[in-house]
Amino acid sequence: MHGTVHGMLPAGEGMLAQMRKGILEYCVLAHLKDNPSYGLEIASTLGANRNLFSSEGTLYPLLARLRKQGWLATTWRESASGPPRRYYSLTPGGVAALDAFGATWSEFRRAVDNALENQS
Amino acid sequence: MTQPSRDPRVLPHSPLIEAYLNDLEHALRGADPSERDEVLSNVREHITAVLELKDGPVTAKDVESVLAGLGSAAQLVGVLDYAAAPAPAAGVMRSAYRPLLEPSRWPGWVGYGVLAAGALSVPFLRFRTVWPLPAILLALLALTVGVIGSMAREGPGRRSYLVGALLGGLTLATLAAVLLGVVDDGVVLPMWTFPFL
Repeated sequence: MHGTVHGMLPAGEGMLAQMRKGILEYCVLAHLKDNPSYGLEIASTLGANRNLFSSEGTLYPLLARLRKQGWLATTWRESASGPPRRYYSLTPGGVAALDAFGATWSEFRRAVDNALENQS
Repeated sequence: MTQPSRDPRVLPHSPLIEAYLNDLEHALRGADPSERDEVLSNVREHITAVLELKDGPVTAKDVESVLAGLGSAAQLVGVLDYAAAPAPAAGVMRSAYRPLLEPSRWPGWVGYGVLAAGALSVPFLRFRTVWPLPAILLALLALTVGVIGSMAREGPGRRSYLVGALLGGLTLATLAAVLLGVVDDGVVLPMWTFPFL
């Protein structure tokens, strides 16, 4: 019995995968809040943190979805070292979504911290 | 195995890259066409840009490293299952009907259907004096769906919607002109009239 329960516990990457759901897109929005950027740069920056992205490529479906959602807009800019790059920037809807998430996240994080502290 | 590219703007020829992109395209077959194209374009750009940073000829090991960093096609597509899915227009909308209400998600055969309806409506003008309904219905279908589809879609798939709508509009305009007496039926449309009519 103990072994069965222990085997069902999420751990490591599995736990992170669950926690990323519904959060990663707001990390992308936050990264783009002040400056537009292109895929590789965003992937290099955010993807370097393995707590956020399990792989750099998972950023690209997120960018496409956020653009379709209307939270990101794209423009093409010339690059000094290659072909033009697709730059992503926040739309007013993206700013509002990020603000709303920020407010909710603060409350949520506080609640989780309190729960964990009370447990210990 | 992997050939270095002299032009830094060109994705290096590599069976590994081709297989990876094919896998990704296949995995994205259920995604919105614009999302799929954007993801594939960004991934190509990523691979090209990272390989450009390598010193010397690009090797198979370099390619493997870049593709490993990107993650598997399943990993990439898995993100779309929970990432900021567009909210339905109505709370009671069933997911099975959503593709019908989102022209950008219509499957590719719809465009060809619109084109066929528009093209078929023109020869049906032959029967306009005794049996005009098929021409009118086909033309209305092609015009309506063609306009909606062409406004919602981008890329090569949009052309069939545009041409279908144009042909449907042409049929309706011709019928209207004849019915209103703007043009002489016997002179303007002799090619569409059966000899026995």
